[in-house]
Amino acid sequence: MTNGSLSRRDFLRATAIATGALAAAACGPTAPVQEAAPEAAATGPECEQDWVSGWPPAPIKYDPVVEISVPFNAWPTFKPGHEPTDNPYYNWYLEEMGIKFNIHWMADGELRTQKLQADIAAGTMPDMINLQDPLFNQLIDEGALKEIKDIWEATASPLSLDVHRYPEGKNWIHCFRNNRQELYGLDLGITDKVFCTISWIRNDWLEQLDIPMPDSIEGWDETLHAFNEGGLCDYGITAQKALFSWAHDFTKVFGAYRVMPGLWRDYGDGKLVYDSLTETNKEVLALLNSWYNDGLMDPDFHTLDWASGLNTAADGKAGIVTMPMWGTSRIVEIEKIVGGEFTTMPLPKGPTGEMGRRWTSPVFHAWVFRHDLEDIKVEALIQQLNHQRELHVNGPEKHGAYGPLDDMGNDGLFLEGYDWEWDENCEISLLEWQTGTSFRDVGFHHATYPGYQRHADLNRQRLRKMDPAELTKVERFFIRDPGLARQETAYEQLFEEAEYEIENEYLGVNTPRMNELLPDLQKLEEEVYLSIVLGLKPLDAFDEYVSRWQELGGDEVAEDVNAWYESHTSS
Amino acid sequence: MAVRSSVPETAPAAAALSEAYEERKPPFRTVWRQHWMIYAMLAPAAVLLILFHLYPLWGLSIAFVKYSAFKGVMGSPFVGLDNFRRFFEGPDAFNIIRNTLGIALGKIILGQAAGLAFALTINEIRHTLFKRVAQTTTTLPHFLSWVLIGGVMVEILNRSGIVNRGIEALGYTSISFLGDPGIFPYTMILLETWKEFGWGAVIYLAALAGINPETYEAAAVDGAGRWARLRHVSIPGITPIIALLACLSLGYVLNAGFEQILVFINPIVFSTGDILDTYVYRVGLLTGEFSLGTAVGMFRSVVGFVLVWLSYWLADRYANYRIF
Repeated sequence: MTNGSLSRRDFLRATAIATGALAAAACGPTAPVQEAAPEAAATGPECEQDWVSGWPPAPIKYDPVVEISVPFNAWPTFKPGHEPTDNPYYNWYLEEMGIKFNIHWMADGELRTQKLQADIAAGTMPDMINLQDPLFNQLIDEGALKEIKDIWEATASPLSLDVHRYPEGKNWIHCFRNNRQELYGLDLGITDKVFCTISWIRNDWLEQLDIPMPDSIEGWDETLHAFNEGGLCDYGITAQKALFSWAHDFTKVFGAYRVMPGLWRDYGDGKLVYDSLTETNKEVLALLNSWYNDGLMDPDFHTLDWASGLNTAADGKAGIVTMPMWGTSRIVEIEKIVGGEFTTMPLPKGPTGEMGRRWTSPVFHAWVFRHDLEDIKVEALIQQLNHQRELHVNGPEKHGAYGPLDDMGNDGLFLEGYDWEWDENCEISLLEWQTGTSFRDVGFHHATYPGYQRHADLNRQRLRKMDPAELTKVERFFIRDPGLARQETAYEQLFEEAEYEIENEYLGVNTPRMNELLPDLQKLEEEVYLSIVLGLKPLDAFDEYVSRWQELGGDEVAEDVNAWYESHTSS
Repeated sequence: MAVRSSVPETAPAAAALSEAYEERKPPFRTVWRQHWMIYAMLAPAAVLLILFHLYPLWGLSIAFVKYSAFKGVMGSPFVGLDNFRRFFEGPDAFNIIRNTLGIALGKIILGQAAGLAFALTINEIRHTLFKRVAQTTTTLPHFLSWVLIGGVMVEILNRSGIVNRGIEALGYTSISFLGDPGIFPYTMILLETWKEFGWGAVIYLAALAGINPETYEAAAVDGAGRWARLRHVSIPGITPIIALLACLSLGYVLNAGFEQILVFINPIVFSTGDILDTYVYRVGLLTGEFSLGTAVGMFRSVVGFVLVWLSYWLADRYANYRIF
């Protein structure tokens, strides 16, 4: 370089260096390629497979192959050498049914929501995706989704229609439009009561203090104080920042007073009211505030998420833990850590002897299809759903498919060396790959139906009643986990107490006005409820909250909700 | 980046120089012939700038329509300033703007002060190993994500955490650092300062290294002790840099730290912890109110742009620093 200008030679030299550097960066050391693990040894002479594995046959085979773009879950793990679009499950659908799933993107949780929003903003939606309100309604209004009633009714198998409770189930209400003439989504049927919570109590502490299992709010209060004052724990009950959630929630306490914040209820006059505004809530908030003041809850519970809340129990600081039935495995882990024993609690009775539990809404998610998607692709996806339902319902008994016997996760082909391997005793040991889950859950990782978990539980219970000597190795494997047996018990309890559920009677989809107003209203509610429990605001703040809720547009929300209710009940 | 000579130019002299330059300014054709390779090297960066910074500006028009992805910007109904009005008339606008300004200003002021104090302290230390260890340990948190720090800090700062145990051991009442609306913003400011002061001190340390050692020796010969050398040599020596960084930090006045707040916020502290970025994230990305989210984001960007422009003007005026 001379006199500040760049000569041709300098330029070429600089370009060569830059190109070389880029090439070095691109071709330099890369992550080592994971070599495919050798397939597990075939059944050894000493280990005999005493059952026949199978899968339901393909209901149809498309030729040419139908290609469909869907989001994939990012969390499942794959056997080394395999990948989302090259594994036994993916290949089965490709080869046997002629359906090729293309990855639109891979993400879970909040990232999934972000990617979906970005897709919608850019108009690049996948062929099929799982949606939930408010997006669902917004996209229908904008004409972005395909109307699929005729295709669904023509393609869905009787079994699919039956287990999904079509068309009368409440789980379909949000998918229909125009007086059930149009269908814009397929109910994803979150399994029954999956988010209903159940409370567990330290049974060893009850025995130690010689006190009975509490079955009322008064009993809860006395027991928590006894645990705390008896020096057994720092606090008493687990809690987290969300008072109404699927873990460490207080919905059973509210239910004992027959109120349920967050739900719309008809108190008999044909109108829906928002139950968070009901005066009785003050009594419950006062009680929770007294528990907080008495040190029965973590003083910082409002900063904790559900996992941190669980740590309160794992640290031995709480004697009552609330989790959904599928959280039983966590309870078992905590027992191992603290060396105690938890048992499920009955719903507590309130001051008037009543009980209540929050109903978990079936209005949750829906599979939806892009408005311009070819009919054959919708049909292919419904056929894949038919196959999955056959697998889940009749898999073990009719087809020798053992996956559905397990918990909600592993229901794939159940292949040796892929899903399981022999242990030293020639019994089955589960491998770490969760590929089956990845594939079954194309679009969403809980693509089940309302009775799904019950089918799995009933299958296991049937096996438990049999003589173990008569069971095959795979059957013995599925009933071996004591945690699952306890989970089944907890799940049964949820069904036994179902009559006390307090239902949300608003099953419509939010109007645009509701979508605008609800975020601020919910934020206000969370803040006020927590503030009263923490004692940062007096109980009178509840009355201010009610007025403020109305000022912020709550009345307009109630108007829209009641307009839906009126049209729904009249039709 | 060009730093002008520290010798102040008189206005007539500057005008004369400018005129002289204009008179002998070569035509662009000549400049191109001489420097086309430089322009060629600039091209990839220019393309990236156009693609990822200028072209997306078109998306700002979403703020003025009721955006529907399937109708596009042009097909969506024009609503003028309704989205801006909706935000400013909303129940949280005042709180959100106040929180953003308060937290961001606190972080800027305390962060700069802590970085400066640390740099001056390190500059006085002669033990090389200690100096290096101190610098490394204080710089390390800069490279950790808030998600990671969040998990640790919730444990450290809760009522049974190590900090509150210390406070209680001294006979005081424990403090809800993350759960008290009155304390939450200060906790955020302190955490950010802790995370960044080591990194922030790097520029000050570089400036201190640039001070002629003879100045210190001369001051010592004149009888100046350590404190006097600090006051009369070190601080005056880096005053232009202090002024420069203070001016430039103005551009961050509406940047209160999205990731950090998102990690720590909870319903109780919404009133003092919710900031513009978390609001945009919530309404724009989570609830799909693209137009409202864009409007609020645009408001933040316009104010930020004005402040950046002001900061460069101030930097030019008081620290003789110019970019353009």
